[in-house]
Amino acid sequence: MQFEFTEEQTMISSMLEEFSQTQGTSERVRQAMESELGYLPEVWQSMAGELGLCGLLVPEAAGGQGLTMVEMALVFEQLGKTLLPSPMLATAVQSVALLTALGDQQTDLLTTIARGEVRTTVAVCQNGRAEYVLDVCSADVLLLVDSDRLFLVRADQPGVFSGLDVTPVHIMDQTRRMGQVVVKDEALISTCKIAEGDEVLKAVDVGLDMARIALGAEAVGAAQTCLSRTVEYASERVQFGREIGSFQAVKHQCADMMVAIEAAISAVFFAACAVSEDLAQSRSMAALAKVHASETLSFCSARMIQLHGGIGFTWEHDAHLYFKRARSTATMLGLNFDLDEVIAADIGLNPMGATT
Amino acid sequence: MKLSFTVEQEAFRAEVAAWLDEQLSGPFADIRGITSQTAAAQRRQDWEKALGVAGWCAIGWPKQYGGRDADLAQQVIFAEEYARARAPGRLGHMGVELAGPTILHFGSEAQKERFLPKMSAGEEMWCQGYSEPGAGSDLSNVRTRASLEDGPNGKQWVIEGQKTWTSLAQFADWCFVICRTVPGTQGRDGLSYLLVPMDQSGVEIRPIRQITGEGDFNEVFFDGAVTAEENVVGEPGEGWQVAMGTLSFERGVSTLAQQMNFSNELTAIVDSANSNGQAQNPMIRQRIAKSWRGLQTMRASALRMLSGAGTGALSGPQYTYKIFWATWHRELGELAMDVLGQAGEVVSSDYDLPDLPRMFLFSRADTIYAGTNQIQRNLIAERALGMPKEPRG
Repeated sequence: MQFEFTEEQTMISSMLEEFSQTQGTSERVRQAMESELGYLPEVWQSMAGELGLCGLLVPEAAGGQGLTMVEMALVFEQLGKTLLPSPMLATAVQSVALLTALGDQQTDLLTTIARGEVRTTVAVCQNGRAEYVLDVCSADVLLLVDSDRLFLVRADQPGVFSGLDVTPVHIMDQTRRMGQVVVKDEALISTCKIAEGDEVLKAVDVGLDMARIALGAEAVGAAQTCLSRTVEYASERVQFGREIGSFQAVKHQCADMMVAIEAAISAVFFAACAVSEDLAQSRSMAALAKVHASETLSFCSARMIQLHGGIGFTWEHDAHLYFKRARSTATMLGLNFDLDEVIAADIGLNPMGATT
Repeated sequence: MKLSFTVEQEAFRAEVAAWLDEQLSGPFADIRGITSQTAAAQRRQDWEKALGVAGWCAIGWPKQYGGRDADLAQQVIFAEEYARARAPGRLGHMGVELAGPTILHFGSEAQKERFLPKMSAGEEMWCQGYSEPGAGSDLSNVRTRASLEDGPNGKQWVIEGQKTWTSLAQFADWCFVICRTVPGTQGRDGLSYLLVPMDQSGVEIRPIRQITGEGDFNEVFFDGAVTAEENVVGEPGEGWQVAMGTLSFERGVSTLAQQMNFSNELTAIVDSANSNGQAQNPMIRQRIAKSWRGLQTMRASALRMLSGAGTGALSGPQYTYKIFWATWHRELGELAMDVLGQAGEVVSSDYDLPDLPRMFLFSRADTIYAGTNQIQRNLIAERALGMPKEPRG
């Protein structure tokens, strides 16, 4: 039992910090979010190629680094600090975790992901359609889940799949890309089935848990930027002859942001450890990481706008990018309210509808 | 970074659990589950001695002073098992958690040998003489003063003044007192950290009846109270630094035991909700889930804080932990009452409160003592975030 980062983990964090700060300037992030792809191809090449981030969670036997969710959370914390857009979450976390949970079946695909050669995503369908599928419009491979069946659909070209209609869905948070998937040729898709039954349901859950933790880590990184930029502004801006940061009405709000952020950091890495070590209640822990970090980012980004005054309301200032990122974080990978119900059912409360 | 325990650590857990269960189903069955700070004081003093004899009183201390040199994992395990066994609240905690670590860190060798073995044996109880009527958040404004005078056995400190909010003073053998020993000084200069025996005619204790109807806190009056010249920790006149050191130990492993008690309270709330039907109320379910999230988060923050404790500068959670747990616990009290409904407001004819309603009322103190939420926010903003200082009058 040791709740401290190892030297290697600290190194990964500083390496990513430098990368994220250099590549994720406000100008570059805006350039990415205004592009059709949603991210800068050369940034993705560095992440998937020389940094090898896609192979972090891939087992060594499949050509990856075989690291844990703790290292991945450190990566996402740094990416979140600048909102640097990329298809990392869908590819390197959710897809890799799902495929790895299936055992040795998909080693070849995992190897190509680890090499950074393909972008993948997961679509969980109901009645032949899935709304809000992350990064599907640039994906090379789609893992399509329909009840307990898993289909592996390869794109003819990025985002174009035989037998499926894929349509971009533009959302308020422009630093993410979503798409709608509709199955139009069921017979064709059914030839792509790779697994069926309980193992699929379990693997999908593992993918979701890991992705929730990464999303939480990203949110907690973003929240740290909301705080540091607000503190910086409040320490420079002068009104009534004083820096506004010297007023308790302002500094106490910043203190509350730090309290929330430190708690969220704890929650995220606690959850990352719990899933890596397969501890009891790790599903609830993953839900906790996502909900806590998401609420923290909502709170901090809202305070960032408030404490910046009028400038925080402009398109030019970055505050709105964080505020909008908070919104998509709250609704992705399970609504926060629904995840709290996952927790409620796991901690000894009688199920809804039970008679006492 | 790892949460799991080793086989050896699990064996240690089994040893702790077995000892606690044996004692608390045998000779100490009558005080199992007591959460009140003041109830069954004599029996809880016996319990401290039993812990001392078995070597469980201060496990994190060096062996030479009666500890076990326990590492962090062992201390975590002990705290968890202590709460799981529903062992009673520690009457000795002001000594073991505050005075002891302070003397270990700042005290002379003679002081260590005089005071530490008695604490780790559970034989001497302590209390804290910090706050005064005019020195609450502004602690350095203390008015209690002491001067070095000739006594029957050589030089001794003679103390005049009043302390307040002194927990457990009525059971304490000793008090660590911050007082002004350099006449004419102000603020942090000229203060000393004295160790004062409580059983003497110059010390008077008056309980303060609090919101729960009980008297956890006291006023302590020093009217010509004395202590020997050598009972000053650190240099005379430089007590502020020592006093702040004591406060930093408040962020120590005792927090883990406290958390386990919180966990027991949350479990009691879940049980109540299941039995009275509130578990079917979606809003209550959401609040209970949120509370569970806070509890897990707190545990993780405590482990972060304690894992990094040896690294010098205060890390994030060392600044934010107090306000987080205090605010969380206050909300837990509100949640408990909302789950219990009107039944939660029923008291006995002598105003004896059940555990959860008492917690609801007592938790209003959590965000006040050991640094109010307002002061915590100032510290976080000015020290951790480096924001411009509040102008001071």
